[in-house]
Amino acid sequence: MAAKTSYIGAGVVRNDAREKVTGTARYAGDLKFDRMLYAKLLRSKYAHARLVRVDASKAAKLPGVKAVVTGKDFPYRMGLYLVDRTPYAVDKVRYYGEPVAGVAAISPEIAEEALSLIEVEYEELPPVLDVLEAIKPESPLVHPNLHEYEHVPAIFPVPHTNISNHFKIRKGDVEKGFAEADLIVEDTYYVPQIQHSPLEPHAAIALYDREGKLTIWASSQSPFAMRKILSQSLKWPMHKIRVIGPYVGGGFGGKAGLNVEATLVPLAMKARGYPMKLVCTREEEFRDTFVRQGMWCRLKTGVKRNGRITAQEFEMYWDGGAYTEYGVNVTRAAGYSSAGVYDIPNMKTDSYCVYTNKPVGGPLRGFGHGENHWAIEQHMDQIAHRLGMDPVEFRMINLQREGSTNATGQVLHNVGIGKCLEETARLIGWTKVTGPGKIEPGTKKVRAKGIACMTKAPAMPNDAASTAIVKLNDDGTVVLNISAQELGQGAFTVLAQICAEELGVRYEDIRIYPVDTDHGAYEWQTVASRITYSCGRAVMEAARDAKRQLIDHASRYFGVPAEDVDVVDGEVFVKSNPSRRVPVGTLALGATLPDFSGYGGPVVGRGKFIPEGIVAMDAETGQSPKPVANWTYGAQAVEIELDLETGRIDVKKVAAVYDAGRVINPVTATSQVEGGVVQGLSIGLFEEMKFDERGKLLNPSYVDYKIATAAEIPEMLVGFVEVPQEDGPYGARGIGEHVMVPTPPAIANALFHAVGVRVKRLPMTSENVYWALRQK
Amino acid sequence: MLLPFDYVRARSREEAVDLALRAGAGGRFLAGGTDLLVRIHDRQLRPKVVIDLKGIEGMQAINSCDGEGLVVGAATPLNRLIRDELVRSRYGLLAEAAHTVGSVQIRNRASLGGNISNASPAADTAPALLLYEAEILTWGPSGGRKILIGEFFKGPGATALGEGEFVFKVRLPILKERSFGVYLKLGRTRAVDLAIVSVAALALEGGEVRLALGAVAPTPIRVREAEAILRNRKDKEAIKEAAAAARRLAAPISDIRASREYRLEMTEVLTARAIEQALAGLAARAR
Amino acid sequence: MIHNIRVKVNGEWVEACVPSHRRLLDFLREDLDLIGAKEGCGGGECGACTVLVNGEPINACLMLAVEADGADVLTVEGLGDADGLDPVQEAFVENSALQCGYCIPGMIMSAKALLVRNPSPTREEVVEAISGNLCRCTGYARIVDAIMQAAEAARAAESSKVGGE
Repeated sequence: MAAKTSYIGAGVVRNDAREKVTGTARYAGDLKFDRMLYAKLLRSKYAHARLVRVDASKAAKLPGVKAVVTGKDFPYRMGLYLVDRTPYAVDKVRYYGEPVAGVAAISPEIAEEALSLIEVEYEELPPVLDVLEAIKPESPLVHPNLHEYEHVPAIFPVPHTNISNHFKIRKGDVEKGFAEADLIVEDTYYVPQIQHSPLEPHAAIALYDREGKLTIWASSQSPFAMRKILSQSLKWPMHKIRVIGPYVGGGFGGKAGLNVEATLVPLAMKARGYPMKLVCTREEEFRDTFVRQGMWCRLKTGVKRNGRITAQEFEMYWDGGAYTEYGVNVTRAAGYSSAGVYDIPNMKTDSYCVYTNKPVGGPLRGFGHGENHWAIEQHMDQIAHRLGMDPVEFRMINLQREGSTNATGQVLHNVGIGKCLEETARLIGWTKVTGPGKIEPGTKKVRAKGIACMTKAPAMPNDAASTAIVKLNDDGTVVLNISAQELGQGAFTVLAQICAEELGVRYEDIRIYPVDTDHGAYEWQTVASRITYSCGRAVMEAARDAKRQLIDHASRYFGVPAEDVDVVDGEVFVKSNPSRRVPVGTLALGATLPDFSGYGGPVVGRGKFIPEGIVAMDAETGQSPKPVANWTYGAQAVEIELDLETGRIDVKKVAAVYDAGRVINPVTATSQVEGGVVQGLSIGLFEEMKFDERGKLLNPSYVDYKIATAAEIPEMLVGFVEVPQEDGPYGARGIGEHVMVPTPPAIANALFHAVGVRVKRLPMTSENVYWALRQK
Repeated sequence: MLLPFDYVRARSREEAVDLALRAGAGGRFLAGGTDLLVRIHDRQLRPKVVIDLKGIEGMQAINSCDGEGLVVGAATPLNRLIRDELVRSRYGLLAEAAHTVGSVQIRNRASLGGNISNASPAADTAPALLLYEAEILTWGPSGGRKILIGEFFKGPGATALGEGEFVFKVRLPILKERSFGVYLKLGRTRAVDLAIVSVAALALEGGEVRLALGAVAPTPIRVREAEAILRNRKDKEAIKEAAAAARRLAAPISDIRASREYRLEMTEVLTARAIEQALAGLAARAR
Repeated sequence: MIHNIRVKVNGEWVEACVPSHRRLLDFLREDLDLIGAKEGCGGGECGACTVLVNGEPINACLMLAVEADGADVLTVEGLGDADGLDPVQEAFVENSALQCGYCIPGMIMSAKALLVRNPSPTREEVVEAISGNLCRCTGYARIVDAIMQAAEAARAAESSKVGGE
């Protein structure tokens, strides 16, 4: 009898690796079709202006141009949570870079020439560029018609203001809590807008065919959500829209929802029968796709002399940019997680999503948590310092644990943060902080350590669901039909592992094909670190369903009870007589019985998952017994070397420990953590979108928007804690986003321990740190 | 995707000049292309004719002439320069500085001539060339001429080159004394970045210490007043004074990479470090 | 202006007509359907389009196709053979030194060029060789590991070959 191989917890080789190292993996921009056209967009040169006249008639006459559109041709508003955005500006432009017109032509050169023939007359309006100015009553309105926009019930726009969402937490009695406090610490923090910067720019191909069906091939995390948004906005039946998703060359949230694809739709409808490709330039990628929202916040905490937190007041103002159709939910998520990993009895949180005339804010890995934890985790260190306590010790006193409540009043169980923090401290070699860092002999450099914690839940509608279909082929291979996207996170690998484990086949025999909304199993979106958890459960159930069918076939085939049959490593056998065995392929299409009659039929397993029991938060208090599907906790510590004369921080070592519930694949999980740590480091030290006084982005290129290169990587020590998630597959929960959240505050805390200086504004560039050192 | 232009590969210096004069403002010389093609790609430049210089004899050669130092063809890719034994042994500072330009891929294309012809104040090879007192051998409508490196840069993006004239070769005079050079470059990231501030120091056995700065003035500059302080004194105090002098001589701007004030501060810090390291290196070499 | 060029691509001579402004990257991807080299930025900053020209890694977005006339160009598609992967590719697979994969063809070409020039690189030399190849997913650590392992494997294969003769 073959030994059963367990694929759960096994570091199998990624199933997309060979395609990716040979260059045969196809991304949207690699696809080509006959008669394909090339689309290009004319973009606004003003951050805020009325469109007086857009005349594209000359462009339309240029030979080789097949379609030209402007906003007036296609004034449909779209959006995932708040319907506030048109693919092209209609009456006014709201950010520098907003599409004003589009062209599709037989060559990219002709398309670009056509753009130069489009005449646009603007009447400049005062741009709203500062989030704190934007909330003032006298501020110009970016969206005067906000009150007319449709939105999901969980979003609360404030009509006739620039506030597109106001999320509130009211827990306990903050006034009482502050009155009980021995010490109150208050400070402000800021994060700028930043870019996901996946290596693959957004790319899409659209075809509107003779039957009136729209097909979009897109680099997208969200084929089904894209279909839904388009269908709702255009009032088309869903079957008229098909989205196909090849490999995604990095998403980080930037390819969630509906993106540049929307601009292709009217062009495709005008040039019926022609597929047309749009690939963002790097400049467009930086400025004209989703960015992470900026955020300014004020955080105030009351604490007893013994270290126990009594109250917290948190105000967050999010620089949402010109459209906040997706961003409103980021501000909601950051609001309901505003306690961080701490048990705080009395809380008042106000999280405001604010329109500005800047690039469009949206989801970015961490979904509001990199931002609010930048404040929370520095704040905790500041309090510890004021109390004369060690940062780890202070955190331990206040950590959420069994029976604690979080900001929403949810009573928590199976909380792994304590173990994460302990293990992180152990890995980095944490010793009680006793004073400033030590200067390395003979240098102008000082070393120090810092630590930070985090928690995050998937921010998604309560009905975000997954499905899976498992089909057996008669050669014994398996088609796993799921519509999770492979963004690089290793979803295909982990889902194939789960399928192999449950079905009893070899991992190598499982095939997953690109997402196609026409015949793929439904998946809400590949976002929110939810795929292993949600789609994993669907796959588990589908594989079990398929296995039941296989066993049923085998029971009849071998003439033994079902209980006496099992499937292992691609073979079906009789447990009481293991020499009786056949490959699964023999029974995949049904069983041929000894009398040559057929039985059963082709094996098709189905599975589905929806997180159950999630209760909407109260509109006024944000309280709910179960506001989200699950919480993932983690901690990171860093060791830095600071150059006292230049302000440069070198991150030497990072320890990172996450409660994954159950690690399905230790290699891909560790790889996720490493990637997240370095992205976090990059955001912490380098990244900021810089604008001029009229709202033009000044650094839309890798020349002046630096991201970490291979030369920046620290030594990384990665660990996992496994406190099972009750409804996760084998206890697993997501970690994909979480892993970059605590890196920047951990670095900031290390900086403080090194020299007693705190930088409360990202990024901690050499120059920013230098001036902070000088101001000391 | 680039917008259309014509490409011509010049077979001789004369042909290159002729092509350039005919193209006028629409003509651009091409060596490694790592700056020109980026600017065409970014739609900052739209040339009519791109004149490739790499086919001209001698443009990619490195020749040692007895008593004359080293002559480097202007289109020589930086990586070839860096790997050249003569350059490494005699002009180590230039090799070190060239090594900080871009990435491996960029250095396989980017040329020494291109690096200086673009006249970026941050050009990494420029401070080293200033300290080696290089001569720029050009070719133009009236034939060849020689421009001292100190007179070559005229401002950001501006050089002493006339219409239709290009850098043909760079001559590095022979250094009779033992020397040790250090190039310190402060970027935002540790690799593949432009300099916020750069400082080159070249310590000579005879006691001279030469100093040049990048990215802190309209052109890369040699700071002789700072050098003078170190003529007879090499103590900590002298180094501090020289660094302060370098700062006084710098005239940086604020831009997206750094503020003027930070550049000034860093000029002083890096100058002191570069001097210390150059002196220490020379001392070690002498032992 | 149109140029007739002859380029050796992955070991085979290719003759083609290209306009002056055609970049080597577009020539490979659009004319030859070699889509392994990717465009990440178009400005020589990201390295996703790295290919080898006469053995040296370059950014194919910053070279004109006409400049490659007569040159020997190697892309990721030219690595390995029908029987298997190149040891560098193999090492990337074994180390899971990839995530989204978009930077990987360029990364592998940079690694390949390094190992040809320097069969026993230090970690620092590996880092330098790939510092012009941006990766947003992996954090680079595994990529460095993979290249070190590929170097070791190549040295082991070389010494066993010598021993066998």
